[in-house]
Amino acid sequence: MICITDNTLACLDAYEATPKELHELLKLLVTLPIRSIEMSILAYEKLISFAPLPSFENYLLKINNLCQLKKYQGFAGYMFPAASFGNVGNASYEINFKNDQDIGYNEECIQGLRMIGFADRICSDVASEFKHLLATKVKFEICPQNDFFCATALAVEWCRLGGKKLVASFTGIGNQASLEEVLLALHLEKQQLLTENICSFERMKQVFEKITGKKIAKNKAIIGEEIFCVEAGIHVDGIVKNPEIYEPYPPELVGNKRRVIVGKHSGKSAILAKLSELQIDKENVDIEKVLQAVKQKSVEKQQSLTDEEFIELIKVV
Amino acid sequence: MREQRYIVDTTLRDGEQSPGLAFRQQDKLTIATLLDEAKVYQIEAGIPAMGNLEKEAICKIKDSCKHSLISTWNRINKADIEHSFDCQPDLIHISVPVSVAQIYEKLRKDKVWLKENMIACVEFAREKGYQVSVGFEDASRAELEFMLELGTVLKRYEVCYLRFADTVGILTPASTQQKIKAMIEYTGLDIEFHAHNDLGMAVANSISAAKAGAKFIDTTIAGIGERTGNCDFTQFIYTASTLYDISSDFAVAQAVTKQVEKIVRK
Repeated sequence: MICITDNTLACLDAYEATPKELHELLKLLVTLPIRSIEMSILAYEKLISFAPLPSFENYLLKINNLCQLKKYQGFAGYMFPAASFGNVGNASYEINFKNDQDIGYNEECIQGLRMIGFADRICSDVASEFKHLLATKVKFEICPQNDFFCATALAVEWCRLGGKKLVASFTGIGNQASLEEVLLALHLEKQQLLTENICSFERMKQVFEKITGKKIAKNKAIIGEEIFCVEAGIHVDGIVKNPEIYEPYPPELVGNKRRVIVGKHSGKSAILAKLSELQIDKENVDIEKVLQAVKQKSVEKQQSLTDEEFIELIKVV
Repeated sequence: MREQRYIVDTTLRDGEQSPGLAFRQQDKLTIATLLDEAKVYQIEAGIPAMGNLEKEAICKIKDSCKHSLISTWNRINKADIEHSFDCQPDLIHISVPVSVAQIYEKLRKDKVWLKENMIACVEFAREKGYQVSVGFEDASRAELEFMLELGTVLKRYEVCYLRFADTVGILTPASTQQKIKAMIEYTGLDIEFHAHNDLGMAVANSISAAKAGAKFIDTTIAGIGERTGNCDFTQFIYTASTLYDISSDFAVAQAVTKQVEKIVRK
């Protein structure tokens, strides 16, 4: 069992999220196959000002000093920066303290140690380093950083080598591994299978965009709006014959849908697929003529055609 | 002395296959010129079989680029390659689907047909004096043994190098390394790695391929491309520069990206 801690709610303090938005995000997070949810004190206070936290076994609170542990009771653990532990390479530590204990740096009070960093390790022998860490008695949790665009890959590599605990966040906010990428990668690598489709990503994305005020890229891995759109003739031809030919996993698994769009790169298959999708009888349509008109129109507008434009074009051709 | 790695930029081919994106001829020429000025090793300029407009664009790119090699992308058929002849590229790239799903379900052919046609297409282009590279499409899901068999044949036909395409973006750094090492060891061919970003690992997998010995890495500006896109040009250069000599440096790559993003966002 790989235990993922999501710390999205510990990374949103810089944004003016409303209590309601945070609560909705949290309600969606608890539906995901993750072990722990970590939040900042600011997020926690906003959340409980709106409503009690949804039922979930492992809430963690990110604290800045140990007095806060006594003030905010009831969490499964408290994440506390441990600068005094020093650095290993460029990784830093955080301690996971147990709840309701006299605080002390001993085995009684410490539930786990988190290592944060490793960003540049894809360029070195990361496997040996991870194996060495895993061989120690300490049950490290790692939080790979994304300075070199490799955080998700590092998280998956950690699990491949036997690591059981890691940290990620939705979209990778906070310069970390993306939760959604880690979940799908572990599924495809058969290290931790998803038992059901994840339908909450779409709504999570909307709430997240509202909070951050930034649009998530249309081609963002796993959650991008257009990642299952196909235009290229060769790809549409393949998808029509068997979607698996050009899809790494079914779109339904992440609550998305396959969509054929027509434009400069379309072939006859795409035109036929679009006609069928729009329930237009192909008998009276000159496919080749339509295809050429679609390509021309697409180059003129430097974009693919909308369904309305396609229907208009069929009428004219 | 650090080892060299070479960038094959496919913004104008796989990049333009981003759903919804359609470059005008002038856009293609502008992007190619920027990549050429950035001294990118090779520019995959497009697919001549798409038609006369595309061919014209490729010819203009070929005329105006001074540093980069210009290549064209072709399906595994002679008609496509004839279109490429019209553009007189520096290199003709032939894409050969190698997974069972691609051969039997997409092409509706078999392995024997594939091998024969691959050889026929390579010979066809080589006889005309062209340098040829072959791309194994969907290589990450293909049988390694079959790819090694095809690779061994290609070695005899003096293809420049073999592209290993993770067409659906399912590899991880570990699986990338294992497959690329095997390809190099058994075929003796130089390998080009083509990543997709479906699991957010395109840069990591490209680095892993380079570490396993792949000399050529495919990128696109801003990581545009089919579905989730390809390996991001600037991100790869930034990360790989700690290990390898690459002809384009990070500052130049950033400047190129800024210019091209203006065109992409129009």
